[in-house]
Amino acid sequence: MAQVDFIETTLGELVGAAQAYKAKGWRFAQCCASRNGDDAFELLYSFVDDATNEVANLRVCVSSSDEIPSVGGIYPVAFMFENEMHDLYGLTVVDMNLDYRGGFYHLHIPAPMAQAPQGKAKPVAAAKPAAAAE
Amino acid sequence: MAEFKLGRMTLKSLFSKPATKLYPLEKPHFFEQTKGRVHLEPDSCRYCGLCASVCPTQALDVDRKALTWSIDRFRCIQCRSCIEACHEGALSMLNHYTDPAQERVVEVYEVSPQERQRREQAAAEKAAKAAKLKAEMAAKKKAEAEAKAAAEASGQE
Amino acid sequence: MATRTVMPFGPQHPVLPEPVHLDLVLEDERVVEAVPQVGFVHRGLEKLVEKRDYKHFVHVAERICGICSFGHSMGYSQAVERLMGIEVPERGQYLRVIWHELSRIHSHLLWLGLAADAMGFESLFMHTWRLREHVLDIFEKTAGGRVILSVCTPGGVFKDIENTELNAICGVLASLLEEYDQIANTFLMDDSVKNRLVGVGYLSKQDAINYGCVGPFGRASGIEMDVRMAGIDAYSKLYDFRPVVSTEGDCYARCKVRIEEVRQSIDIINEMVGRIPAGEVRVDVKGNPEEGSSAVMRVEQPRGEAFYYVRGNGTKFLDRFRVRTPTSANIPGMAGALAGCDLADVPNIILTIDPCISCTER
Repeated sequence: MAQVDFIETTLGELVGAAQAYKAKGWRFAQCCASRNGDDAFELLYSFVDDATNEVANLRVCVSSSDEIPSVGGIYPVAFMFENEMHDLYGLTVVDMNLDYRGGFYHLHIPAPMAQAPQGKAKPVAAAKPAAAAE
Repeated sequence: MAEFKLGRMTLKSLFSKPATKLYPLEKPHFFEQTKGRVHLEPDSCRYCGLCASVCPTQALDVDRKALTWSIDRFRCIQCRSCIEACHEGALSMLNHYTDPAQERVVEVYEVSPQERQRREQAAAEKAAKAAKLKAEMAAKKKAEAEAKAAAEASGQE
Repeated sequence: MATRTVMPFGPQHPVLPEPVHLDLVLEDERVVEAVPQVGFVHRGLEKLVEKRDYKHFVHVAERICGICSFGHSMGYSQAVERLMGIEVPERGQYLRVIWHELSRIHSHLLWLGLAADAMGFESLFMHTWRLREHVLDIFEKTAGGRVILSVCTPGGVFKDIENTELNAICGVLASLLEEYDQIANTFLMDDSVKNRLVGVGYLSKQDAINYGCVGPFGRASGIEMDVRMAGIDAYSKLYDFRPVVSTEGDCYARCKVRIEEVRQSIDIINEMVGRIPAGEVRVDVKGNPEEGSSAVMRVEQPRGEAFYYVRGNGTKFLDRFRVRTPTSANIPGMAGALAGCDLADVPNIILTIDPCISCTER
């Protein structure tokens, strides 16, 4: 199986690292955010080398007040994922090459994925006996 | 004028049967393994509720006391998790789909009257046997306690 | 003096399989710029992973899209297997490849039909979808469903296909190939079709690399990349795999690449059936993903590379499930290919990226 790396880095080094991968000829696969806790997020930027099938993932820890520099100037495809990060998590990305200003997804509530996980939700079956009896 | 490349196929379809089916006049053809709907054998079921707990969409509802098993046909996604989970083998997958309907369909399977009677009888017999055993054990203990008291009393004298 | 107008395209359009909106900046009848807008079918499936047991979530993952359904279930299952260190038995791996390649054949036949329909060639569209029915019948016979198969799960596959049935599948594909040759000939040689496709929507190799295009869209512009070359699971057992690449970079080249990929998939299936080992198809998966573990998986879906990222947190719910689908990587490339084309060619070019917007938005 080809090499998959997870590398920790900081916001300040992000653009420089992306430029280095571009110079090596790597392709930008995706960038996404994950929720670590209240107002703590972890960004993941993935780069793929098509020649050797190596995948490098850069991890950055941020909070909602941080300003994330866009890599859209280096990789034009990044705007799709950065707008999605802004809409779903409420993160601020500056200098995007195509900025939808919150209109990328039409969401009912702002930043839905920044809210706490609903894993302990009560199963719907509790309400079923009334419906079945009708 | 350029040659019509699809000529052979078009000519063939002029003289052959249509590829489409006149549904709903013609019934669709299902295969043996087609996932249609889940079916229960009510008399083999233990009504333990394991299938309802593994169902991803909470389509099943099992009442252990009343011995009924109900399924919401339109919530079921035919994933076969319940069939795999059942220890008794009471569940199976039929190969024809649920018919379209205009409102939610909840089907309730109930155990048959003979089987219900048999189970109630079996439960009653079991309870009677347990009560008898308990009474015997209590009487035995009482007798032992009396014998012990009598032995102590005679030992003291 | 050329005047600029902005014309909206979509989300409702007869040629689009799924809703996408474009703002086309036109100078007379020539498109100068295109700004895409997605978000009409966002269902929040990535948030749903927090409420569904990770073994049940595979049923949600395969419903992300109807055309690439098996690809998503396979990608999710493989990602969870990497996360938990599970080894799938060999026969299960081979069966997954067979179903996945069948999924690729059905998806490309669907796309060929849509491309013919976009040009107005209705009878070709009908014949292509008639051939596709043979593949859907194979799905129903082996897995139980025509579109949503529900056979893949973390740990293997639910159902086994017997060797006699596998040989029958090869027979069906061989008979399909005879009629398929006629359809392919029409797409590639018919003058009226060529007039609509050749030279339309040209994207150079350098532009395609800059935009990060994946899948047949990128391979038609000369980028030689295919995740199947990485040899994940049973794909590593193929004798020799070379991606189908074309250098012309226009709609005709993209059509040609997909037509060849169907033939390549049939060859792969024949090879897999000839070499499939006996044995189990599934291992039981016990326990939960460890806290703080994460895994990345890539799958070559019919539309390109799909990228999966999963993260566990010790409970039966996954912490994060991320899918980056090939269409979201191809949309900027599509906007680039649209620059400079005629307004009448816009539906054709949009269709040649094989847009699967429901995958893009989840």
